[in-house]
Formats: sequence, structure tokens, C-alpha cells
Amino acid sequence: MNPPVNDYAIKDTQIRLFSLEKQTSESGEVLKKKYQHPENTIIHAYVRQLSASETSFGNATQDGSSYLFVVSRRAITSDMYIEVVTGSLKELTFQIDGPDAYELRSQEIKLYTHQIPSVTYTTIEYGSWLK
Amino acid sequence: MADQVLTTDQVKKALSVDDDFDIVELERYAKLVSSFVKQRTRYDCTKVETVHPLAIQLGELYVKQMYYNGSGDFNRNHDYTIGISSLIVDLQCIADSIKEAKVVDDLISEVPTPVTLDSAAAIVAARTAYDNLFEMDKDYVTNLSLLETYEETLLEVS
Repeated sequence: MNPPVNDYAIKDTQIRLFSLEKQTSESGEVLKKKYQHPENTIIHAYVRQLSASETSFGNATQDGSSYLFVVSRRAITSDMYIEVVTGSLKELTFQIDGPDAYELRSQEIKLYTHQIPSVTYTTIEYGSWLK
Repeated sequence: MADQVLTTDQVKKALSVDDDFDIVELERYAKLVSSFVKQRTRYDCTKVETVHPLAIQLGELYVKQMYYNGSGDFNRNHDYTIGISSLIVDLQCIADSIKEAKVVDDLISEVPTPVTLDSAAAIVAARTAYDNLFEMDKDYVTNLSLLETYEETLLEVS
């Protein structure tokens, strides 16, 4: 049986996607927070906590993911971070462990993440939409 | 007058898509919603000042139905059939009310002015037509204050 390819999740949570880049300045090395979308924009996402069985399986394979985000398909890599803007996870930061593009025809991408303390940075930069 | 039932921004919000979503696709959805609502309910948004909330609600459900089930896969989490069919019936009633109210509005606007004793027949006809409307149809009559002014003037003249 083929898996459903367009069983879209209801994306009722707003998030921001960013990566951290090291920059050398006069005062030494500083961290730049680079958003992967323009200023004053957000990304819609579906988010849920992984179930116990999913977490146990993840632990067995040494994968510490604890939250799943689903966003519209973008070239997201595992060195990016998620900042939640609305919902019960508001203001929390998550690191992406791995994007899951299993259903290639789907227009969505699943991101397995784990929570991290909020990052410290020196400068902010806004990029264009990540395609 | 409203151009379409849903603007592209409303479509974007209904679908929870990001700001970089294809604008051409959003415009296509907005046009399809307007034609669907007009065809199925006879509610013509181009003839009203503000789009009725039920029309907006129907449009949002229809656009979700198109977007989530458009590829031919049925998604059990996105079944809006019952909502759409019940809203169609509700909006058909509203479209009928607007049509009935339009008749009364036309009668009021056809009253010969300035108001004299000769206008009495037209004013009485308009008032009778208004009184014969159902209560919910009366909400859609826009020229009622004009009719009341005519009636006051007629009393002064007679």
C-alpha cells in the first residue's frame, strides 16, 4: 500500500528558521544568527512531541529527537535551528537533527528536532526564502 | 463593491501557507472560490458592499477542500463536505433574501420625486411590499430610511 503523499498536516504553529554562523570581527569571533526567510515573516508548521515508542526507538539508534515539526518543503539542513513564535512551545529553541524527505512526492518535509537552551548571538541577519 | 469572496490574503491564511507561496496559485484559488459560491448559491459578491461572513466561511472551507484533496487523494483529516453542503443551503437563503429585498429597494427608488399626492400610490405599494417581507429579508433592504422620509413628506403634503 502506498503511503499518503499529500495528507497535509494542519500547520497552526508559527516558527522561525535560522542558522548560526561564526564571524571574525575586531573583537574576536562572534556568532551571527541568520534567519532563512525575510524580516517580519514566519513559517507555518505542524508540531508534536514524539511518542514514547518513537523516542525509545530513537534512543536505541542514538537519536535524541523529541519533537517533530512539519513544514512546507524547503532545502532545510541539519545545521539549522527552529525558534517557535506561537503555541505552547512559544519562545523555545530546537535544533534540527535531521530533515525527513521520505515521501518524495509530498510537498512537506518532516523535521526531527530536540530542544536546546536559547542561543546567544551578536548580530542578526535576514535572508531570502529558502527554496 | 467586493470583487471576490476571498482575497488572496484570506486564501493564504485559510491554507496556512507561507508568504512565499505561489501568488498565481492563490489568485486561481480566489477566482475558483468566487465562481463556486456564485454558481452553487446564487450569492453574487460583486453586488454587495461587504461579503457576508457565511460566504467567507464557505469560501474558506471550499479552498481547503481544493487544496488538501486536490491531488485526488482523499484525506480523512480534511473532509469539509458536510460543512460545505450546509453552508450552501444557508447562503442560498441569504441570496434569496437579498433578491427579495432588491425588489422592495427598486420600488422605493421608483417613487416619483419630489413627493406629491401623486406619489402616494407608489409609496403605499413600496410600504406594502416591505411589510410583506419575512423578518430576515427586511435586514437586506437598504432604502428603508428613504421610504420613511417619503412617508413623512407625504403626510405633510396631504
